[in-house]
Amino acid sequence: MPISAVLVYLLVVNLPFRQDSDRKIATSENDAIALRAQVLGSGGVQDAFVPWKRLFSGESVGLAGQPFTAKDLGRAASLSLGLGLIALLLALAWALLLAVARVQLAASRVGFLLEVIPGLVFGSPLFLLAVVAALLAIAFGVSFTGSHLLAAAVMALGPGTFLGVVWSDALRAEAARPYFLAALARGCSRRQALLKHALPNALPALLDAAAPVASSLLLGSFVAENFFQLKGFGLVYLEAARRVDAGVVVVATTLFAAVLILVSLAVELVRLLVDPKARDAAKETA
Amino acid sequence: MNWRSRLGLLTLVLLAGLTFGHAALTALDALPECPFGADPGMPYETVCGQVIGGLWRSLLLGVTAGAGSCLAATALALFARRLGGRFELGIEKGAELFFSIPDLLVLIVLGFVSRAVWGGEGVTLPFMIASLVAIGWAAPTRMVQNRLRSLERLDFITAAHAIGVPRTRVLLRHVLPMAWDYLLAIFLLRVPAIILTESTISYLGFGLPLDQPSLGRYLGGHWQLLATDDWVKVAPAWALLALLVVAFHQVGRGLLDRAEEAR
Repeated sequence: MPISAVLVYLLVVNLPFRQDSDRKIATSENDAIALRAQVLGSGGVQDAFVPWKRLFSGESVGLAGQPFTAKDLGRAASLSLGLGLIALLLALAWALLLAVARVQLAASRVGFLLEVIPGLVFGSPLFLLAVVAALLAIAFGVSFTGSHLLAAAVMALGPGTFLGVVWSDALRAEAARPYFLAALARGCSRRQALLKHALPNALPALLDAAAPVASSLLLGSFVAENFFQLKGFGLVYLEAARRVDAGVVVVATTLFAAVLILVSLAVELVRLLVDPKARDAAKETA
Repeated sequence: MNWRSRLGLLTLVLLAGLTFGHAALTALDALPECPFGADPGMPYETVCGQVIGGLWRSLLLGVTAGAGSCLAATALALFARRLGGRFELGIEKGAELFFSIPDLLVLIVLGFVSRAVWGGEGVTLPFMIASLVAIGWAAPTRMVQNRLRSLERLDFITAAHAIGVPRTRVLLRHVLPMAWDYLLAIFLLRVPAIILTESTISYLGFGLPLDQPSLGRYLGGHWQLLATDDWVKVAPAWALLALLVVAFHQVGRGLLDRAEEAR
């Protein structure tokens, strides 16, 4: 991701911005000069972080008429972060439910339905799942525009289902191990053995899925914020890219890169805490 | 192949037949009246014309971008295996690094570039195909690299090396032909992923223009109708998209299972 941020920066500063246009995005000669000035400043390596410098010095970035101060961007980022955290909790709850149901009900009639759910979720574009959620909201007499919870639920659907599939596969593998069979032989119920013994051992499998889940939540925020018209960072980024607003695009891309790097670091730290094998490997390397 | 893969293959043949049949009837000026009526956004176009045109564009995008990314991945994996050492490790790590970048983020940046340089509200079909190839090479490269590596451990390949057959010849004449079914499976599994990615990026406004829609672009421009009495104008596009994605996935999965069994 840091490489992608640098590449985006290099790409943006070298773009031959259109200067005459009959489209809605105004890129007059002055705008084109302003766009380049926002990113490049006076030119040279020392100005590589011009948009960030402007934000830290209290100035705004963005085209005339659509300026963003650090406070505006911070507000949008905190909304997205809040949505992401709610979505993560919902995704984990949905994943746990789906995983346990897939393991417990595999042989029943409902088992087939539980196998169909991942196909439906992975086989539909996210915005159509958002439409379904909105239609359900309408059917229950709830307004969907601006609904944070509904947006978080839509964001959670893809990553939650993915985690649920990964988790259920890990649980099935744990259920075939001798310690699980021994627990059953000693009179432990299957549900109890799954929740008390197999579940903690299947947790590291979730950590392997953390990076795709973080990416998926990020992408979900673009779609959900756009669909439910929530002024989060995803919507700010999309609108900036639509307006060809170079300064905001550079700031947002580097921020996305930072978030994904932090998530990767956090995952590695949690892995060290919960996975003894990872701890041993780290000790050997040290 | 199991019954699901066969059904998927039959669905793909029928969908391809639908696009070609529609094109042939249009050329002969013998199109029957569309049961879904006119496109509300473009009254001079019928829903059938828009949706079947969209199906054709989605198929074209998925197949060409899927083929492009799989060809690039195969070429890179072969180069990596041929040169070995640091070069192979570099390609492996590069692919892993690129794979960690969210596809949609790259496509939005490329859409931004297209708007900044060429203007307009959408991107052209060749630009979209090139963008999808650019984001789609990383995962297949790692998969093909691993496959080639495991095939090279077979006894007769070791024997070929031992009697002095050049490494390039071994890779191209002996290893690659054994990987064809696996490559085809990867290609078939890439296609639905590409079609879905394109649908989402089109919905976000960085895809094809609305007057030349793919299925995703059509759905992205008309989803509001689902909450009205005109929902029937959207349902065919959604059904075709779901059929297309599921059919490609089933055929790809079937081939992948067969390739794994043969191994």
